[in-house]
Amino acid sequence: MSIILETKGIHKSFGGLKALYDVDVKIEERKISGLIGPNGAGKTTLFNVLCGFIKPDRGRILLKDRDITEKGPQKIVHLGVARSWQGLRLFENLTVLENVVMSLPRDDQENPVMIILGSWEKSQKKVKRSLEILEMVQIKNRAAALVKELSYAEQKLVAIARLLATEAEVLLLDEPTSGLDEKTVNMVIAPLLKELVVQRGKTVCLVEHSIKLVFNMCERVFCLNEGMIVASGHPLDLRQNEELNRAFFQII
Amino acid sequence: MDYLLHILIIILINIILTVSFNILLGYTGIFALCHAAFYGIGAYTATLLMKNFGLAFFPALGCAVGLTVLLSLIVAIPGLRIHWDYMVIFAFSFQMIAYHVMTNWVDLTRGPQGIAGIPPAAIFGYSFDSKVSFLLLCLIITSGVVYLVKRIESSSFGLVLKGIKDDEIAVKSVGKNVTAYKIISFMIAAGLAAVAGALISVYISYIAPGYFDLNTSIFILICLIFGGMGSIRGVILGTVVLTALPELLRFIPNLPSAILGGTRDLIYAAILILFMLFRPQGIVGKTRQ
Repeated sequence: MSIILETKGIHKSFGGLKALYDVDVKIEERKISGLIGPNGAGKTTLFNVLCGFIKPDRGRILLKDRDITEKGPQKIVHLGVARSWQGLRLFENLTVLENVVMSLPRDDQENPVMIILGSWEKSQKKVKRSLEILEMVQIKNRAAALVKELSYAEQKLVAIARLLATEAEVLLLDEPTSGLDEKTVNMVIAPLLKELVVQRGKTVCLVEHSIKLVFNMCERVFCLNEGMIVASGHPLDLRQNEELNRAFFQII
Repeated sequence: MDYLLHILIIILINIILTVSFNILLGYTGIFALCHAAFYGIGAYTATLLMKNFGLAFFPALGCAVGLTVLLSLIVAIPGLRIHWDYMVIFAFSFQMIAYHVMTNWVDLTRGPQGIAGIPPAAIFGYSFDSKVSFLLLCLIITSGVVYLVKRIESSSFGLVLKGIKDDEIAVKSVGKNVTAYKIISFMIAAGLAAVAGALISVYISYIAPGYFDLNTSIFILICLIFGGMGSIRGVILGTVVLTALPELLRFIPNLPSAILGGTRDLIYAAILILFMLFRPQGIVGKTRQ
């Protein structure tokens, strides 16, 4: 087992509220991990800390044993960790294709003057790569549509496409299935996440409310409650823990 | 005829100001009400270099752009790292400071009385001293600026600017350095405003701080709101209409010239309020289907 992303003793308080307390998580490379917990447990705060949007009060974040605790969000994406948002945060006035194109990393060989003055539509490499990503998430047919004209389910897929465009190794998905019907989850999202890990070598970590999805897909699950990790392990092991079942899984 | 040419020249110079301001407000969403300060810095730099050092117009124009871009960093570097509402006040302060420097640094700028006798633009011995030739020069330069802004709009850089306007945090989450993008857009907009400044100084052959005050910054803003932020066509249309409209007032019989300026400001204010209330996307707007 190889750990790609790890937190050590993360503490974060907002005023008197302890949002995260001594949180240790170890995310395994090329696996799907899950983070579950009731509302207000600190799941999204942990994502914000992992991506550099919030600095922890104490503790360290290691990416492949490299300390990234003090890095900013932009740097962390370049190092290989990117996230999606529960509220999607798409660029609604841009088209689906534009959302993906602008999220691609800068090509080192690209002339800075051309970045400012060259038409992105004429950048064959960028457009081709973006369309491949859109095809992978099955939304290529909507490439020219404005994001604000899409259905919520379609927007969810664009958010995943945009996340893939960052070319980060570790993908943190904040509630990728909320608001979607079961069919879309089973036919599109679940196979896509598996493909990302198995075929594309990505590491995925999900924040999810759907216990069923997490237990079906994840190889390691972290249970967070009131800012603390109350249990972690393989879903089958967690399921066998009756006390945990009663006290935790039923309140989510 | 001369009068018509004069209005056309002013329209072309104003278009440079508004399309460059559009990069800031229309694309990136930076509300920095100090565009006239950059316009003025460009005008004074070009003027002083031409009058005091005998520089030709185009080298003076280049230096004016360079200095204005450098000075724009005074606003951009600290201002764009703070929250946008503080940035509004920061930029407003810069506009006021720039105006007061132009008014009070009398040794350099000759203060409120301004600088007269600015030589006309010339290149390779050809002087653009007739209105027709200067109109052609403005047409070429303004077309160049509009083309440049159009290229920026359709570039990868432009996409990120529009993304910043939509959601800055989301842009950070896809690995873009938001501050750097904002600073570069600010530098480009300021540099282009300086081009307009150099043109107006050689055209009127006289500059004074009053041309570059807060009212001018507000005028540029109203052109954007009227035409439609983010749309180059809209901004150009807004500039043409709002530059020409007050001129029509001159033809109203029995309108005393003393209240002409006041009437113009009244119309601008009414347009600002009415458009903000009923058509915030402007005449052309940024509606994409």
